[in-house]
Amino acid sequence: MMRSYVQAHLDLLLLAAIRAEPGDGAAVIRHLRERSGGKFAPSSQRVYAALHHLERNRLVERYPEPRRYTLTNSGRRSLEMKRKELDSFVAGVHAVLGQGGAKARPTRAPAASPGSRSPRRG
Amino acid sequence: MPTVRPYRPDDRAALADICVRTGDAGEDSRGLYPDLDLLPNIFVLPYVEFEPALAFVVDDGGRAVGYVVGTSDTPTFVEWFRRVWLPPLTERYPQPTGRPSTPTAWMVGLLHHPERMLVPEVAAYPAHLHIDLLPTHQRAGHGRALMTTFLDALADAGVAAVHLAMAAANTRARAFYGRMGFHEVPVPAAPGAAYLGRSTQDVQTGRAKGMPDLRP
Repeated sequence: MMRSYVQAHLDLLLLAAIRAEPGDGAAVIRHLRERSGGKFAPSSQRVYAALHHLERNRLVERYPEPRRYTLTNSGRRSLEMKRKELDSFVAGVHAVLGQGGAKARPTRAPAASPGSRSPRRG
Repeated sequence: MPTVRPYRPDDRAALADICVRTGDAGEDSRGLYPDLDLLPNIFVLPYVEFEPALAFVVDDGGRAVGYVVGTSDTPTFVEWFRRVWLPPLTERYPQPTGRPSTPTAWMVGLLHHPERMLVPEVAAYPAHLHIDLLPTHQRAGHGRALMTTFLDALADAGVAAVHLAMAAANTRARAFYGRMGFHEVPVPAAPGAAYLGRSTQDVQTGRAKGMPDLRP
């Protein structure tokens, strides 16, 4: 189940990872794995395919030397938009589940949006 | 006999009018969006401003009764929309806060988020389009003539593929695009919308479909 959640939000996660730490594909995968406490481990094939689409849509730019991805202005806007949509969805889910369910959860940040709590967000 | 011709700046009002008369999944949108400039400011006017060479109209006695507009390069269009097109409109259409409570608020939200057009599943189809015909002029071959002209213009410009997004509820439009050689591109994140794409090559193949093959 976790895998399908990650796949559904892969663009958001990749944009967030790249904003936090511009790097190459391997660095982006490492970032996702480390920030999620090992929970998010999408295959490199899926990540590279998604990065390719993000690059074609000019949401990210790829610099050859040293090889790294950075966000474009469109990418920053897209990240904010996707993040708000996810926040709204998560808030709705919690409201439906009710207070008891929310309190019973561990106190860590929502697993699906590690980038949204990034301390780099100024 | 209505004919397809390139867009001219004096078509703007007619195009805006066609847009609102067909803006609710193919039906008249004027009851849904009382501000008659809102939809044109999102779906027609930016295109004729940014890439007028890709805009064509069906001209019936000097009046535009249908159009196709689009861009050859969606990411560049989105950047331009954000940087140039949107700022003068934000006073008239302020960005809605919170959950949209009316169709207009929802639509203004679209205006403020051009990046929504950058959908990963259609990243390999860099162009996109909008096509609309007044109901009085549908089912007469004008849609096909517009689309063929548009696809040829894209091919001439070296653009390999085009996509479009439509309300999934608009079954007549969906059938038209199917006849025009568009295939569905699944976009799970957009359940109310259908995304379609096609190459700009072999534009005439759709026309031959269903006709007898007269070649020896």
